[in-house]
Amino acid sequence: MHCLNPSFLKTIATKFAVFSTYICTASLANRMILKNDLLRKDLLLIIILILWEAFPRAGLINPVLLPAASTVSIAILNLLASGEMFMHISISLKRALAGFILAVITMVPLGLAMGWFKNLEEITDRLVQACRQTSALALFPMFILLFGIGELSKVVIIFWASLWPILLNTINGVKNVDTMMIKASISMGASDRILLTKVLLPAAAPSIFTGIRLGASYALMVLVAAEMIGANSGLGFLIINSQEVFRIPDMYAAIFTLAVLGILINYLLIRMEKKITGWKEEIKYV
Amino acid sequence: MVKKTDVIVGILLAVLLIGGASLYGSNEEKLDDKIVEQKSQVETKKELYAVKYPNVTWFDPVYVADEKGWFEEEGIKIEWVGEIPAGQFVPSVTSRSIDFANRHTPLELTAIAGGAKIKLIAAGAMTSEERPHMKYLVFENSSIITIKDFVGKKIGINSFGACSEYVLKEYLRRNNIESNVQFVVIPDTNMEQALRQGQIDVGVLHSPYYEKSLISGGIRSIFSDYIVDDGLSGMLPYFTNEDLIKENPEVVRSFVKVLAKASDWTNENHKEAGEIFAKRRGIDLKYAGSWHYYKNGIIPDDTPVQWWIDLLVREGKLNEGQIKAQDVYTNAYNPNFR
Repeated sequence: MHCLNPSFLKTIATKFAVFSTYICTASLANRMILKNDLLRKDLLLIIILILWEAFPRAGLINPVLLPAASTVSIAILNLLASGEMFMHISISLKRALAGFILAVITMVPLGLAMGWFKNLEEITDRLVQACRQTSALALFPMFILLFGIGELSKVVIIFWASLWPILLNTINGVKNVDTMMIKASISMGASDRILLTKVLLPAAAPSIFTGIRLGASYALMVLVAAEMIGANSGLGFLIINSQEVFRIPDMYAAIFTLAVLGILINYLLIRMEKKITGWKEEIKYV
Repeated sequence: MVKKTDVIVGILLAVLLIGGASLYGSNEEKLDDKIVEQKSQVETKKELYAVKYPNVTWFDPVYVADEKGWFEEEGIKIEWVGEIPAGQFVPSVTSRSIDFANRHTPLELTAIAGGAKIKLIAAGAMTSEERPHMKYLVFENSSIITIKDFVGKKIGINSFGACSEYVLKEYLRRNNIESNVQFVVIPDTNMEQALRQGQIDVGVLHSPYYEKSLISGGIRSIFSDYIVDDGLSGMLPYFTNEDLIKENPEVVRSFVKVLAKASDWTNENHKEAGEIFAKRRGIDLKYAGSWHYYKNGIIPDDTPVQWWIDLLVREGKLNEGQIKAQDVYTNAYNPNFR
């Protein structure tokens, strides 16, 4: 069947992906412009964009080292059209999300436990204090030694970097819950389960989400370093490799894409937080 | 309540996450597919041994041999594990994350002194007058003409403890100006920029970075590492883990045999070798370069290694007599060696 051969399917798939990316981006931009006061909220970004185009063109900045915004845009479009950008984004997202989600599902429960049970906290505190200061990048060679140069070590290093804000903010969130609320709930006969789900979690949620959002941004930051070793694809790899093969516009294309991804993920997390901590706003106006 | 924007962003992220993954795979998976394809086409009776090799960012005859299918003839396939920073080559061979690598001799010597079980098994590239290992570059208008002008200047090197630091230090020492010079570490990829912006006075560059800088213009070369003892320091040997030698000497022999063949071919076909390298890496053809290789991959005698042992002893990094050159390298796995 001629029309089902792999390269034809890939072309269709690329076109679909580019099309849907375009539609989504246009739609987002449209909403933002319609809903916000364009001039005030986006003024700074527009100014920076204009400078980014003007300075390299005028030669005030060496255009080989910092290409104009239009050159970088063309590089982005080329990478999208060839499908290469999707491949890099996908593998980077997979690595970053794997490490980040692992950190969330292990550290939120652990943080809740450590914040609640004083014994647990006393036992683990020294270790936590010692490890929290150790930068993920400094530990990189050790991770390579233990976990090799494949996907595992990348996910582990991202996991390590993003777990600290999540763990520490969760512990903080639990410890800062108003003891009055806890005492009142217990005195009203709340079971442990109710205490956890209806009192503790909602009260600690703002802190936990702060930690989660920090964890997500750390994950993306460390992604670039994680992809320096044993990688053949990914946005971090693209940033480094583009320099090595003297394709600077591609490097900026990758940096820009990484920033956009960070914005998208952060946006979703903020929305999630608003949904879960909706109660907080109501309390404000009481 | 879920806003429409949430849905759009969610869809976008989902498209990005899945879109690349299932339809394109990653480069890692793509290369595996390519190897499987090649394998089934060749119809070999025995399983090809997968040699883990990094995607080297400088010229390497392994690219040439891989392109020409010479490894398969010897029962080997190269498993490209991806790019690894040069500084991780020795640890990666020590931990067997990769099977072979090439780096400058002093790094292997210090690793061996630290207990690493690695051995040099092929000579690799040499410094020739036309194709030196490193070039020392300055900005066009610079006042620096000879080594004597290095006094009080800032030199950019790609790392401490290797060729870029020591060869120059040796040359400075012989001219009695060792202590008046400042070394600064700058990664290879940023060296040209630092030089052009005047942040360093002299840049020590390797291929393909020096080709790129010189071709781009506005930069000139004052000398190359050939100037010190006719480039004796320039050997860039291949090394492997001693455990691999014990477990599978045949693989080591096959690898060295193909490597030597590709190196000799490169010596006769520099232009095409450079083009293969540029194609593999995605570099513009005009920046492609290749090095010159020791004939048949044979390490000729103790001298290239001894040069480095003596230097490291002078620098205080090794004790006198701590390492013997004979123990560090071997030609026994090179079929061309009689």
